[in-house]
Amino acid sequence: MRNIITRDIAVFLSFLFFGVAILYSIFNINVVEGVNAVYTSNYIVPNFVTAVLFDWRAFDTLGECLILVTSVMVTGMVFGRGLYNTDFLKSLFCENTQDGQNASYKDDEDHDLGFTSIIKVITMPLSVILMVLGIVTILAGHITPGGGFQGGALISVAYILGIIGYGTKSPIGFTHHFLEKLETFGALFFMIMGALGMAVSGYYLLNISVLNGIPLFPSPQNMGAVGLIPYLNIAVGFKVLAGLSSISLLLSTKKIFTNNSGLKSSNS
Amino acid sequence: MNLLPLLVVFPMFMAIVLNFLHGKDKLIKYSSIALAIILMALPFIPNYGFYFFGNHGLVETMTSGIAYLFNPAKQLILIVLTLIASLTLISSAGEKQSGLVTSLVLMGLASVTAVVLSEDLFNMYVFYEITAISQTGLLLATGTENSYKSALRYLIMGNFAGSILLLGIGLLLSISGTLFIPEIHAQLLANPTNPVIYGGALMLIIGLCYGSGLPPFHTIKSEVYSGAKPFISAVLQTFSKFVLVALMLLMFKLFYGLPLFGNLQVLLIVISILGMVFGVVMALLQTDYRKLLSYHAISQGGYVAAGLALGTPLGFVAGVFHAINHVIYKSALFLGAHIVSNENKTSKLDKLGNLLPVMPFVAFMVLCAKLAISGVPPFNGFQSKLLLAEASINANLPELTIIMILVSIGTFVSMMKAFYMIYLKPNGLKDIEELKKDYNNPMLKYPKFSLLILTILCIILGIFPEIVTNTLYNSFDNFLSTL
Repeated sequence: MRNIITRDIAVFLSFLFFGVAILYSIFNINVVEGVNAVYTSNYIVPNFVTAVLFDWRAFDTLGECLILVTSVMVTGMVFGRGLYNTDFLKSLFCENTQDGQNASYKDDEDHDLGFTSIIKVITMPLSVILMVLGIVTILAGHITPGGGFQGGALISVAYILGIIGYGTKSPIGFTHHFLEKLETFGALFFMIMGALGMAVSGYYLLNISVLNGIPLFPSPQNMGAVGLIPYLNIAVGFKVLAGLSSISLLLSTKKIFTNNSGLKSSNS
Repeated sequence: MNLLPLLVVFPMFMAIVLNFLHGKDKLIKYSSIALAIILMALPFIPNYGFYFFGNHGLVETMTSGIAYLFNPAKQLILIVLTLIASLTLISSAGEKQSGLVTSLVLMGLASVTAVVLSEDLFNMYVFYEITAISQTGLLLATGTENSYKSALRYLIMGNFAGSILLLGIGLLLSISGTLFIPEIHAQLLANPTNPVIYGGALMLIIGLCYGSGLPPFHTIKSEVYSGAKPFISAVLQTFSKFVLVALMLLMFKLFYGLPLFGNLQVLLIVISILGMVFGVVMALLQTDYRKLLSYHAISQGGYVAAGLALGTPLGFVAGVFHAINHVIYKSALFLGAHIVSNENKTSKLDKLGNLLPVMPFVAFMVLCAKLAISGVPPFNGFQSKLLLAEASINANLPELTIIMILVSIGTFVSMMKAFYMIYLKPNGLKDIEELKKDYNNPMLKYPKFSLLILTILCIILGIFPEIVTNTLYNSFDNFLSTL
């Protein structure tokens, strides 16, 4: 008992010191404009956020995409195809039988969660609208608010909405394999677009707008040259849409687990 | 044309491709061996100097884009890093595997390379996060319940430490207005008493401790090392050591010359002493070989941090040299543990024994690595520990030298105990013929090959340390005066 109290006091004191130091720092912040002035005074595309994300600091954006790629890989390791040792997970997903050979799944079938028909009727049109909005957000990321991340997230939300409303019978049926292909394509496309700049001038992710006299992205006259930015937006859009969708697919369905763990065949 | 980005982009590209090829085991096996050879050539290609992504260099007196800096010291670190990662890939060729392990090793390699190269604070943070996530994934690849638990704990801690680190970077950005490290340093020097610097420095130190496994994160980090398969632990601890080197040097690049720097240095030295002592004390208590090695990895991390925190040119050389030596002999030890405990055989010390007649050559190589970690001449550990002791005495800290020697004795004791328990002690359960049958696995030739290369490196660096130290002396002689 005494031990626990000592530990509580130690935790309290360390939080107190750390918190006081941080608060003292934060109350004294006097923000300097610095490099932001450079970012806002040099015109690249009308959307300044996109300009920073995909031109000035494009390599950071690549890194952030790869965080998502790695997370999907790791999630796949726990729930999906990367499973190594399924023994202890069996006890979570299957009813225990004596020898484990005739393991049966507790509930492999879909449940009707008792949603009213209003929800089912509303879900589909809403999903379609969200999906269209997502595509517009991706494609017009360099001139309007939004971009690849936001658009990809919107499309995957439409997909998740379908799963919530209809379960595995969702009309928007991205398969796991399709999402993998999409994700790989998105990430590789971003890297190859970056290497294009390297081939032209030696700088990775250089924003080239004209290649051999042909403009890379056709845009109206007064828009200026947007170069690679729309393509990078599309790549990130694919990546985020596939990444978020496949994480939620892995987390929401036991089907993936049962197919990957090789238990299905012994059952049926 | 400067091909510096390839160091980061090529492994990542291959990681994604191999992830997509999941399931085609034979193809992955051969391509990972081919990749291992290609990777070792990569650090020799680029030119020295600054590299600006997207050609966004100096605009209106501010550096606008992301900058990488490549110099001989970094080249040396990257050569060792890619060597260990390549040897891990070669060792993994003997395992029943999938593309995921290979791609996560490549992902980790690319991200640590970026952390080492980066001269941009936020870019460093992004790749630091990828390192943490890929380490978690490599731990999960074991697939046991314990590794799942430690991975979850490691991720939760990572969320906490990563957010704190990001907040610290935000504070430094707010007062300096830039993310390019030399410019931040200049801005901080212009206004050195700003209280925000304290908050930023504190938060960066929390990120440093998490990334490198120094206290208070030593228990979770050792769980990570001991939970993973031993040949994967070899590359995991390599990642942590080089993240530690990069972040310790970052502390100097950011805060050197400020009024708070003296206190910061004391804090770093205290943390590194705690790491050394906690690591070796916990290692003495362990009965599981992998846990013993894991705690030693923490303890040796403390040595590296202590050398770097001294802040003298000799200290930097000793710290980086020790980091390089440490990843070499510790990887050899982990590979030895992998050969002993392969295919779910136990790594509990009291259930092993009498393996010397079964694998005399492996036992000899492991003995070399064990002598190297305890600082016995003529192995590489001796050279760097000698340099560390010299550096701490020159920095007027003989107490630190005494602690280092005591910790070294503890290391020697526990390592020799482990050697006796595994190779010499009579095995009560099995006779020699049975043991020989157990360890007669043709797939073990891959880790044995890696172990051989690492042992040879241990001896070469022990006899000719100038190969490494000359480059390091040249790089770090003027390091502080150029800040």
